[in-house]
Amino acid sequence: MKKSLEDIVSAVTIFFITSAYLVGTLFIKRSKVDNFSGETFPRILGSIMLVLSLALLISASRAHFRKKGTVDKEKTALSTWFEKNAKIFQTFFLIIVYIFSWDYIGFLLATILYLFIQFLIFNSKPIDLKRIASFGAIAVACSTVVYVVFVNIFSVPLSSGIF
Amino acid sequence: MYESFLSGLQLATSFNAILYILLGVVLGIIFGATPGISTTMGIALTLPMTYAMSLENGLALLLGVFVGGVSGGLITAILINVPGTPASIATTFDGHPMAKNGEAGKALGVGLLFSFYGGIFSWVVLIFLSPVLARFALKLGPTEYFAIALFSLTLIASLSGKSLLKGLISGGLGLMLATVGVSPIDGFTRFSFGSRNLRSGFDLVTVLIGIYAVAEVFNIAKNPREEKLTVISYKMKGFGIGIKEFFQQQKNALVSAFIGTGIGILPGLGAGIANLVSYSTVKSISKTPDKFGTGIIDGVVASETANNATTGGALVPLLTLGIPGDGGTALMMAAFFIHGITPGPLLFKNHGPTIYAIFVMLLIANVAMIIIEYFGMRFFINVLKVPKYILFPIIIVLCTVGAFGSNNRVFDVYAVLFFGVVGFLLSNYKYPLPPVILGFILGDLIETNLRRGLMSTYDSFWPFLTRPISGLFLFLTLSFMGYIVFKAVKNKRKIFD
Repeated sequence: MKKSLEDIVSAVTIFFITSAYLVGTLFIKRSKVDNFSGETFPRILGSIMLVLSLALLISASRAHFRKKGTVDKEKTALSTWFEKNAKIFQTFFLIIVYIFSWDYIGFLLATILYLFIQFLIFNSKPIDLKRIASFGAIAVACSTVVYVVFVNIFSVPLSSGIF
Repeated sequence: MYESFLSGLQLATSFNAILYILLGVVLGIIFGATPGISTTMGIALTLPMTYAMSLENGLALLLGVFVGGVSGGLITAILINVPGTPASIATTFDGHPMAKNGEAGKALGVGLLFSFYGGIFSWVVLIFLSPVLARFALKLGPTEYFAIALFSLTLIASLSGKSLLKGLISGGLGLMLATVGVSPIDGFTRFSFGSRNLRSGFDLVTVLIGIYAVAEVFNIAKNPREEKLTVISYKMKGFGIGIKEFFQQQKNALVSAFIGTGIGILPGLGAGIANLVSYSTVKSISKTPDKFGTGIIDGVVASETANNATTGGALVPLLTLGIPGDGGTALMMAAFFIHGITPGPLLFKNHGPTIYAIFVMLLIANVAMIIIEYFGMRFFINVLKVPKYILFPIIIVLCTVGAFGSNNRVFDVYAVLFFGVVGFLLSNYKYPLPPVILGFILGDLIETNLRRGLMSTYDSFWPFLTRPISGLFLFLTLSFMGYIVFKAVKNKRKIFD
């Protein structure tokens, strides 16, 4: 994506987030004593952010339309974009499943499975049986070390799950 | 004072503290030498280990990582031409050409020696300057604190990225995140959406781990391809330079140490900027600037002295004002919070032994750094061979455990993932991340002092401008922003690009 177009997208996103934030300030209780109450600072902050995001939007739009005639008009199909960023989405959803599974199968088992699958996702070399075995061994060893160290030495009560 | 010093000395030289410093330095050098893992990320990963430790032992570990991490980057910078951390970017300019010219051992030795030099210089500044600043800071009221905090945030927002506007937006996002939870003074709940977890706001540890560590893993996921590293072979004999050559570098080293310490003291800049500023300054005052970049020790001295000189400097604002000097000290601030202590001028009054312990531990960490890095060089180079596709998933596991351990609740683990996504998106859209962190840390300080100040001035903002210190810092804030805009316009650059 072109840089100015990226700036437009980010400016619009921040504008909407800030707008929602400002709406949220309407639901904050007001102090009857202070003129500067709990909602005042967020309102000032939200207003400044709104101005800043608009300034970015305007400058990015100007840059975008000024260069429009000269830029490469190559467009990326949505499917290509998803394909390009597939590993990010896979990693994101894998982490969510990993955290979610803590309570059900326990930290140790969840971590072994997570590490093994994540190694496979990040791996860019050809997969053979030896590689799979080494991924499995590293996943089991690392998970066990982390579990033992954090539970026994640093007293972090990690979920034991089915064990 | 004498009793406090003795207690501090005892804490810092206990068996456990020294062990943690050594462990921290080893971990720090590994993190620093591994491209893709910054010192700050290293401290973020180490922070969870400190939950069950005493404050002093926890700080011993983190200080070790901090000092080791800043120095560790020189190994890859010299031998592979890839800076392990941004703190060693300028080391590649002359360090790697030296290595290619058959002087790899000398480049490593000089880098190590002057890393130690910079670290000790800033340590001296820290122990002499911070008590004076803390005494001064005790006299500051809410109006002054508000102005100083605002100045710090503006400084980092303006300097940490290429775009002033994006830097300010990043700082603003950090401030917005800080408003989630209970408001200061009147205690009303804000932006909690009925969630009990959100009522207490976001935990600093989760924000730091998410933005500095998890976001980086998503960046790796974007491009997980391994680059083949070609390590130049080396032979080390002593530090590679004689006494005469060492003294010939004094002018360069002193200039670099001053620059590094000064930049370290300024909030939010840190070693990543210091090494580059120092390198260009030393080059500009050199009689042979054309030799820079060809493989001379002057360049290595400039970069490595300055980056390690930021370590002591960055601790000055943290200990005296409660404002972190860079990402690493922001995480140390979190370590203080974990133990229920707020860094700032009162630390000198109420926790004297801890302050003296920090001073002694920083010295030990610097000594440990030069010894461990010298003798363990081959081990650290071998660690670099661990592939990223193995390393980064393990980092995710450590991040989730670290987040969970901060409050023993799964909410924080999801929060870490959320901040990881936020950090990834922001960095991909070229928004600097340090202002987000500093905004989050300073948000409460700014709002609380603004409200306290307004209460004491009967809702008038005028005294903020007329009181000498607050007026000066607000003037500096506006002048600085004005200067940046002016400079950008003058250079015919686009201000907002």
